[in-house]
Formats: sequence, structure tokens, C-alpha cells
Amino acid sequence: MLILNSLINGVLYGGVLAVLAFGLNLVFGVVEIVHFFYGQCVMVGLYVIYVLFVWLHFPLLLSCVLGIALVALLNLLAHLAVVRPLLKSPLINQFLALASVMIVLENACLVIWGAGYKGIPVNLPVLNIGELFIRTSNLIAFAGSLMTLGLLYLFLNRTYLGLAIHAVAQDKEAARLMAINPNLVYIATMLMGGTLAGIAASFFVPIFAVHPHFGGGFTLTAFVTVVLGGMGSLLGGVLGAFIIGIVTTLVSTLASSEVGEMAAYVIFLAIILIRPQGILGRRGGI
Amino acid sequence: MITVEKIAAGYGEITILKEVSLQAGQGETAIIVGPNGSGKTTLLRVVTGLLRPFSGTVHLNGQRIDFEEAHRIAGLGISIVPEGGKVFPRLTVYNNLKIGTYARRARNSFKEGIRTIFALFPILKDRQGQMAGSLSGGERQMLAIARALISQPEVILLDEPSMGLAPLIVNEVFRVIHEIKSQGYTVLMTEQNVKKALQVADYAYLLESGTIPFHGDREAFSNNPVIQKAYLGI
Repeated sequence: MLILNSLINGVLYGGVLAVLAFGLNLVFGVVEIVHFFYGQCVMVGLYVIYVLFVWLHFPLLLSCVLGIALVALLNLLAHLAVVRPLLKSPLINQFLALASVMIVLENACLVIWGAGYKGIPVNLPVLNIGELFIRTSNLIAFAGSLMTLGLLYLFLNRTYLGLAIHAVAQDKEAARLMAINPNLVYIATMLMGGTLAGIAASFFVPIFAVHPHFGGGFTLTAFVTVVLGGMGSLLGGVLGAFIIGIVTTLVSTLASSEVGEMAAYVIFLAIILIRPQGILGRRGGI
Repeated sequence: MITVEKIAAGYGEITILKEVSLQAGQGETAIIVGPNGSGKTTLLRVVTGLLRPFSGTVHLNGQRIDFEEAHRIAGLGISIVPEGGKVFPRLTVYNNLKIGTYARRARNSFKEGIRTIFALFPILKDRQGQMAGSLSGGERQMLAIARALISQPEVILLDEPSMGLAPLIVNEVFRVIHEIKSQGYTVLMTEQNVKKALQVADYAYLLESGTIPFHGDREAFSNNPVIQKAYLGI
């Protein structure tokens, strides 16, 4: 029963990780940058929601929606100010610049809000079904994640902009010949990535307290997830997310949370050594 | 109609096109033939905006386009069938055609356009849900042509449509090109298979070492002894 409970929680956690992995893969597959400050985007989202809900007493839902919008905007600004000007620069410059944004964001939050943990007081019940205990916050996060992923899938495969995003990811030059403006696609992708980070932040509201180093832990987990599934593969990211989610939660329950963390990375190392491109990794396209 | 005037172009220090002038009039099929490395693909890259020329101009229906971004030029109506049947491998046949109508002018006509395309290319209708990357070479070429057609083009460019295809498939491709021509499209085509290309051409240009030493209508071109000897094996 404990295992089943764990399994369920693992799946729920995996759902939210999947949203983050999706955002990372989208950005990597289309804009071809490694989004180092993605975890920090989630952190900023949580801080914004904290300010709006706790300080300014906005309704929770509105706070979340505004939080999502602001993170999307942050991502766009970072794209215009840092990413786009460096797209033709050597990779090392890109990496360092993106890592710098990461540090800037962390320290900005440290300066503004201090080093302490800021919890957002949202209390959701725990469901008791027989011997299972499931937190509603996790359920909402999971359901929300599935819905988000479903909508994204429809958007990417049924709309012109979605198809344009695929086209740029697969063959940028050919996409230009289809009258697709790659800059617009990049902007749309970065906005989407930011939106997904903001959505993840909204789901984390009743689960985590935010602090200036919140991003770090998530960035590593998100990257492990993405590389495990195959960098640039949207489906791979989702798969990777569930694997990491389930493994981490199961092992945490059976052993301890430290071992749980470790287990995920051990699995990751094993897969990377056996199959470096990840489970569903491939060249070109998302 | 498309007009290329005194184009010089190349890559960095290397000049591929020295001075090229040619045109395809409204409803005309103009072909550019010549050996490997003569600059045929470079010329098409200049026309589509993927390569900025060193000097010279390109005009589409009187509007100058050589300095525009490639996606804007495509939006104005220049549609190319690139060399080698290039399609988006991880999009379905259907979505490849759909993305062909991304340009504003073509979006509203997608529903009607796809009906026409499926009538013209029944094989594409059969395979519409398949990933384009899993099609055979000939089928991919057909898809690439269909994609150019569905985009409501002002001018259709074809870069060596017979390249890498078996003779039977080449015949199919040229049957389609002939159909395109008879529907009144303006076509500018580069080809190495001079014999086949001349069958659909109204006008022909010889491109050799970055210049056009000779051009003429189909009759004049076919009857030129130099062309006959070097390219038609006569």
C-alpha cells in the first residue's frame, strides 16, 4: 500500500516535471539554446505569486495568471536582450551568458526578498481513499499538467504557428522558404517556455516554499529529465519526467529522500552511458 | 514575371556568379542548364533571398526583392522546389502541405488547395497521414512540388527536379511539370538533364562558369551546334 501510494505520488510529481521538461525541450529544439535559467524562471513565478497573493491580497487565481504572464514576459525580455544577440556567437559565450542570467535572477531575488523561505499559505485537503493518502495539491498539479500538455500538443500539431515551430526546429532554412519568420517563431517559443515555467510555478504554490536558490534544485532535475528522455524530444521529456518522478518518490519512500534523489541520478547516469542520446533522442525536430 | 539583372554573387572570397541576367515572363517556363558547379543553385539562393548578391537586382512583377529577407520573398509569391525532394521529415504529408500555405495569401485557400493537390497527386492522398521522411525519393519530390503549388505562387522555382531519381520517376516528375506549365504558372527551372528540360521549356539559358554565354527560345537552343554537341549528345 505504501508502495502504491508512493507510485501515485511519483506519477503526480512526474506530471509537473513533464511540463518543465516540455518547456526546456521546446526551447532547445527550436531556438537551440540550453535554457540554464529555466529553474530560476519558476522561482520568479513563485515570488511574483507570493507578492501578489500575500502582500497585495490579489485573489489566488489572478495571482497565478499574472505570475504566468510575467514569467513569459521575463523569458521574452531575456531572449531579446541576451539570447538573440548571441545566437551566432560561440557556444561557450551563449552558455556563460545564460548562466549569468541565472545568477542575476537568483541574486536579485536574494536582494529583494532576503534569504528566507517564503511559503504561500494555501492549504488544500488530503484525500483519504482506503489506505491511500493523496494530497489534492498534487492531484490538481497533475490534472493541470495533463491538460496543459494536451493543449500544447493540439496547438503544436493543428495550428499554423505550431507547425511553423516544428518546421523551424527541423529545418530553419526550409522554414524561411515557406514564408516563416524564424524570429517570430523564436519569440513565440520563448514565450511558451516562459508560460510553462509559470504554470509549473502555479502548481508548486501549495507544495513548496520559495527561496533564492529554489531554481537550482529544479534546474538540475529538469535537465536530467530532459537528457534522459532525449534532448529536444517532447515525448522523450514527458517519458523522462515520469521515470524520474516515480523513481525519486518510490526510492524516497523505501529508503530516504537523499537516496531517492540519488537514485534518479544513478538511473540517469546509467542510461546516458548506455545510450548517450537519451531514450528518444534524435537529430533535428521536436 | 521574374527578372534577374547583372547578378554577381558568391560566398566570401569566392565568386560563383560573375554577371547573370535572365528572366521568366508571365506564364513562361524558362530553364537554366549547365554543368555542375556553374552556379545554378547559387542563382536560386539569390532569387529566394537565402543569399545576398554582391551586386545586381532581382525584380518580381516589377518589385525589387534582392535585399529582402527570405521569408518575405516567399511571402510575396516565390515558391521553390529545392534540390533533392526536401520536405519536413517529421511532419506528415498533410502537415507538409499545410505548412506550404503558411504565407498569408495562401492560408484561406488551403481547404480547396488540398483537394486540387490530392486530385493531381493521388499517391499523396493515400499517404497523407504518413511521416514525410518515410516516403520514397520520388514521392518526396512529388510532395515538394505539391507544396510549392499549394502556396499560390507567383513564380515556381525548381532546382534540378530530376536529381537522384530513377528514369521512370523522372518521367513522372516532368509529366507534372508539364501540367504545371499548361496551367499557366511562371516557372524558372535549373536542370542538368538538358534533353528533358528542353521538352518543357519556352526559353533556355546556358550557365557556365558564372556567366550566360548563350540563351534562346527552345528552337534556337536545341538547334545550336555547341549545345547539341556538349549537352544533347548529337
